[in-house]
Amino acid sequence: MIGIFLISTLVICSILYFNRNAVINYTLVVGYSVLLWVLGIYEYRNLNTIQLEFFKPDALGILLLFALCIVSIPAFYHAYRYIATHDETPGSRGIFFASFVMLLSACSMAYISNHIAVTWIFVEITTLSASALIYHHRNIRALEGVWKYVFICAISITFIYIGILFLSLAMKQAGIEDMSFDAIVKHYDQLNVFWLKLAFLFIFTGFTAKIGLVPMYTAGIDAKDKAPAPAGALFSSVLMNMGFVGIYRVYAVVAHTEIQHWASVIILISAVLSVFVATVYMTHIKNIKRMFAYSGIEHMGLVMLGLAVGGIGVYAAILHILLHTFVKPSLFFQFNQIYRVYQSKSIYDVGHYFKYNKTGAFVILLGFISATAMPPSGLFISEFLIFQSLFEAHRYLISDIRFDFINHDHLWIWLEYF
Amino acid sequence: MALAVGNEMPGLVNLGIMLDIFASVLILGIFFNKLGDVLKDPDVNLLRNLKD
Repeated sequence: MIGIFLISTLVICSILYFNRNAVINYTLVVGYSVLLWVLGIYEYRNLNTIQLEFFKPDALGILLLFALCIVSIPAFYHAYRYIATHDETPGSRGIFFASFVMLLSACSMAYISNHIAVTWIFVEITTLSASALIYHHRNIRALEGVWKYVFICAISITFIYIGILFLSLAMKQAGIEDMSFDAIVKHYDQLNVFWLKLAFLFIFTGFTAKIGLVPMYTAGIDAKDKAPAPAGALFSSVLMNMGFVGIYRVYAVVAHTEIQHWASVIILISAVLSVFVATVYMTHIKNIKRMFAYSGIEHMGLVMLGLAVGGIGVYAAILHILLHTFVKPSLFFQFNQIYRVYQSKSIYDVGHYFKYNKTGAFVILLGFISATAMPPSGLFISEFLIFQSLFEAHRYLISDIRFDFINHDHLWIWLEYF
Repeated sequence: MALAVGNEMPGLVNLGIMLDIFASVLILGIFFNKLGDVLKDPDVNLLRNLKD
């Protein structure tokens, strides 16, 4: 099935790229979303079986794959609306949808890949397809955004590659030939701790560009700002999940070894700094889209806190990232409606949104309640669980700092909307 | 370097990595050319608009 999926993705992308007919274009897109769902259901029915040598859908992969399938449908609809309202040429429409399809496929394959180099390949493909999406508007700002994005992601992908080399060095010393995650986890006790430490450091730093954590988060912000909103929705949900999967799989290996504590401290530092940076920037940003992007950074920081402290935190982290996948795209989708009304991205230019678009205002209010994790939203539960896990792990200082940030953070300037 | 230090990757994976590197160099080249076309003046300060 994965083989069929990959080949059909390639075929669909190339037809989309060369095709100039709108009907064929949208038929292919609908066909692709059906294919994506078929893939999701097929992988669910074949849980934990090795397919095509390098792929093995485990529970986390399936969960995120289904989240991607669900998000893909409104994303395609909003992409259709976006293209319809922006007088696109057939050429730019073709490139837009081809890269859209490519991005979704690469993310879904990265979720279920069982070989670290295969994950690397798909991470790189997401960079390439994302760059085409960011440069959709073909102006100087978009060029700046895409240039920064490609540059930072190229560096981060090199970091991951160096990390993989260190990992393979450790494995060679232990005499392990197979580089699948299964084999690494099975032989964790034979791995040289020094090389494993280096490998973790490089791979973690590399993936922070995708997930949006402190060392390399910068390019993602510009990308989400400059890309069309439907593409920004994908960057802030499925693409971030892909970074999470990468870090999670490597951390799952490290967590068995004696350097688990060291690795969790690294993740904690990065997570706390991410929450800090996001909070500080969010208080003075006036651009709505960048605000959404920083909110994503903050949520990923929380997810990583949960992952690093372990225990119930891991469960909470996965719950949090899953709910975030549904909430953040809806805000990005609604941004297009806001922009249509006000023709501006600045929070100073918006207001009285209920008067112009009642449904849209309700949706964005609900999205706002969810994104800030106010009690009725599911994100509240996961944040509460992360908080609880921090206390259980006796990290009082961090939980205190975090609590302060969240309070600040959730009293955003946002209410100016209404 | 991969040959010098590490495990041999399966052939398909090597092919994928090669293709990826090729494509990324191509894309970087395209954008570099684009930068040259758009900015007549090779002043990098023109690329400092996106910030908070």
